[in-house]
Amino acid sequence: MEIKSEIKTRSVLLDQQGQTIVEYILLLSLVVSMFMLMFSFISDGQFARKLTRPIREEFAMVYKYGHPKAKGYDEGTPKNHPRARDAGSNNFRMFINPSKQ
Amino acid sequence: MGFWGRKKKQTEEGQATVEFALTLMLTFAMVFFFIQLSLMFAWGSYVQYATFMSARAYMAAGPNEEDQVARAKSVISRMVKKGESASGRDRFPFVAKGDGGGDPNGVKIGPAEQFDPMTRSSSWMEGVRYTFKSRLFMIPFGKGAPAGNDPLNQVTLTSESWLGREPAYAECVTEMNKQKGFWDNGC
Repeated sequence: MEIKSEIKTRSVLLDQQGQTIVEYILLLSLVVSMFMLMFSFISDGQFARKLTRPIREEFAMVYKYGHPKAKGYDEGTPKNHPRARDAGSNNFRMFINPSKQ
Repeated sequence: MGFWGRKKKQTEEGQATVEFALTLMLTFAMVFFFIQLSLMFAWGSYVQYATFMSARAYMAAGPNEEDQVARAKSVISRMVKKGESASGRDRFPFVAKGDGGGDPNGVKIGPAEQFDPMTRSSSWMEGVRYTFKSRLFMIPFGKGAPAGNDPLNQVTLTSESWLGREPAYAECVTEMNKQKGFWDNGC
């Protein structure tokens, strides 16, 4: 009875059943942790800020005032604004002077 | 014999599938980014038209100023919200949501804070503006933005239409009554 049990235990320890799934789990955890690391780098670092800046800042100004470098009263002093009349900030009703940018 | 009694194969079958699955995530992220961006641009263009139409309704003369505001609100509610009766609900919340308060949310009708009818530099700042927020990526990220800043995954756009406002009939009558003379209902 004891001999049979010992043989069974040995056969369980020596066979290769489940090796693939163990390797798969180990690899999966590695891939997931790499993905998480990469995502936290994108989220917290300057990379995402640089990546989205043209849309979040420049396009937003183009949408609002018609020029990527324009500023209005919401952003402080108007600058490159097509309608504001404050002097000395390159504001002009029709065109923005490219030499003054 | 391999796992679950299957015969182990030492082939490269399935490698392409695995690689495809890995690249699929990146591909989908890019495809959905451009879909989202296109929707945002299209909505932005539509909002410019909506604020313009609302500003026209505000500008046109009426019995009194309240009526002008009510007409502008009616137009913008029907265009960017679910309707006049449901002005608290955005028309396409998955594309953009009204932001910054106001009634309805995101809409400001009337003179801006800087408006001064006697100053040429700010006498034009009367009309309608609508502010909305739109997501850039469908996957959430960039929540760790500094306080006071928008999350990196979000774009805030404002559409302004400063067309001014015609005097309402009641205002005209009041003004004309101040004149010491005859007037032939010029209002």
